[in-house]
Amino acid sequence: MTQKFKTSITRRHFGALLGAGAATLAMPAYLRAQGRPRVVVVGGGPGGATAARYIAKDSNGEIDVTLIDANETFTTCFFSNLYLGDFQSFDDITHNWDQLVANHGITKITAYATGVDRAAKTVTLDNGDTVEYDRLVLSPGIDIVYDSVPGYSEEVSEIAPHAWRAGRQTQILKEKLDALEDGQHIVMVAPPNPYRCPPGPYERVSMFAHVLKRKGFENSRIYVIDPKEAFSKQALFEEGWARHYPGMVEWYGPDIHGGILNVDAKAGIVETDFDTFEGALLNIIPAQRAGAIAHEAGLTNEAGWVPIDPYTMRSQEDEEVYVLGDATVAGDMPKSGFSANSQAKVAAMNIRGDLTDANVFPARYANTCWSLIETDDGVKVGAQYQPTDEKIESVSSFISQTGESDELRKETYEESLGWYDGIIEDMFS
Amino acid sequence: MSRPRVSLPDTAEAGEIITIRALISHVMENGQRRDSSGETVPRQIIHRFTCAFNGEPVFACDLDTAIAANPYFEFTAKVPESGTFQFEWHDDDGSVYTDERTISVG
Amino acid sequence: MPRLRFNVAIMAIVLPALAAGIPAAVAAEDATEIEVIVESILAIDGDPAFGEYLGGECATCHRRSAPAEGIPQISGIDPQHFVHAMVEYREGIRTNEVMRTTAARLSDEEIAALAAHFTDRAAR
Repeated sequence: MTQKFKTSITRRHFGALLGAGAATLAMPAYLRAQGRPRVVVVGGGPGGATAARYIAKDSNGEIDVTLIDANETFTTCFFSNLYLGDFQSFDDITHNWDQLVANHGITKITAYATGVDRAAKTVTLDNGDTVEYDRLVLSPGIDIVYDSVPGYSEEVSEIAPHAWRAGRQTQILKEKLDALEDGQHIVMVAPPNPYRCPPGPYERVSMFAHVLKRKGFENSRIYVIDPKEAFSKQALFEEGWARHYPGMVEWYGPDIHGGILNVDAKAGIVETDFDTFEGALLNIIPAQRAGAIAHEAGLTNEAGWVPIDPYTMRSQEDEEVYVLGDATVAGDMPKSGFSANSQAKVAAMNIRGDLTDANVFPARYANTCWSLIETDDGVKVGAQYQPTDEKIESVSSFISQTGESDELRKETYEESLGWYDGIIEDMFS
Repeated sequence: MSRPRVSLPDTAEAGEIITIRALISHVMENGQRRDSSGETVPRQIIHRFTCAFNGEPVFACDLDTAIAANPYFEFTAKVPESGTFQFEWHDDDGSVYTDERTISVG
Repeated sequence: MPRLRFNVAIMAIVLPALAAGIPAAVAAEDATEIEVIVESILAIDGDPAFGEYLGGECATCHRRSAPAEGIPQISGIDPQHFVHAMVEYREGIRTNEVMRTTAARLSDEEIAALAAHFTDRAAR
């Protein structure tokens, strides 16, 4: 028999403990007047959209849910590499929150949340408004630390895109990729750990190579300058690159390149201690940290990420603020859309437990990251997680193997397509 | 199309020990892999690398099929005088890729 | 000739990756043993509320509204079929690694709760 985890079910019956209606006594005056506890969610990605949807859907109108995002549409970072490789259109990976408003009564505010007053329990917006909350969910994703790469800046990213937050950056990268001619090279500077989407840079390299190969460009090369000694799914990517794109991809770890000295985007060069790499396309992916509002709210650690309670996704600084996804220190869980979606369900359940008499079950988390190497050649890595006092801990995991059959790789790719449709419905419907 | 990259200092003190780094981009096809149609891909590797200083051998190495793509060598050498380091990579297909770097001492 | 000192570090050596392949399916688990487990799970009165929470994990990949490419729809699935599949994943007979890893941590009670939830959802 396979080993199983037996979990005991913990239920919180606020009604039984406190008497019906007693929970409302704990609420601030303005809420008693208003009648419903109020949850504000900042950031409408896999963490925020999922949390908003699950809280609204499962509370059947008992909780007032407001979702704040600066944009009218959301382009998923996951599958944006497949857009670069022409497997998806930009429209395919661009969504909106209209169904959340229509189906679940969620209020969508289109504004940039600039700050949080945790004492007053308000969020400040760039349009001057403030929004009050009983529970706050921050799912701000990542900020790019531009100056972690010498010579790089936000301004330079218009010429040498990072495209590590999907949207206009992704389109700039695609335009530059499509404009390449045979014999012109690509230089990618990969990010240091920890960063969003561990296999992402290497799936992107695969998609670059796919486009160059399809055009018959035999003289173009992709140079990857990596600050890491090793990377996610390395054996799988290296096998795939040798098989599908022989001689096209050159990966340089820090032992070889010895450090990045300067990026000159106008000249199209990346200087390292070892040599200077020239590319008509530079894709510079710097170090990252939690989105700005997490810092504004005073929730981040020295490394720039938000420590959370592994059992609930509450910030360790403030039990009325939950933080999700890439912005967090989530133990063994990678920074991925799948992880954020999984964490959002745990947070949503705990918030409903905080504010209503909803059951709270023990947290469990999951993640799978699929990557596409070449047409119908998909690979995956994933795990199940449980909270401990120290961290969110992996309890079992799997990874695709080198030498798998073409049939299995095709199934894995098709599974990733099904997952995309599934998570989009789980976030936005 | 293989391309060598070599890194060493332009200048050194007499007798100084310098680090030399040399890499060549090469698929290092090991002869055991099968392509998508099931055919064995023939072996093609860099099987020998040499480094000489002013024509005198400094270092040589024979490579076998278990070496990953883009083989990289890093080694140190004591430089007694100004001169030229010459590098050669020998390919299974008969090609010899070369590079050289001058260094001035004094 | 000048005396030249050297030592060598070859940084980029890797052994050819061992073709590990997928672990072979567990050799012919006694089909009746599977049936016994399935029947015992079907006899449990699963908690749909617990199943709804557990089913949140399923919803990341399995669309509620329609079948998706490569991933079957499980909303409204026949409980017998559902429990059978989950037990086969848990016991390592079915091979999909995502489902094996997911099912491996599910107790009998949890599978029963999930079955109750997905059946319940069809009824609504």
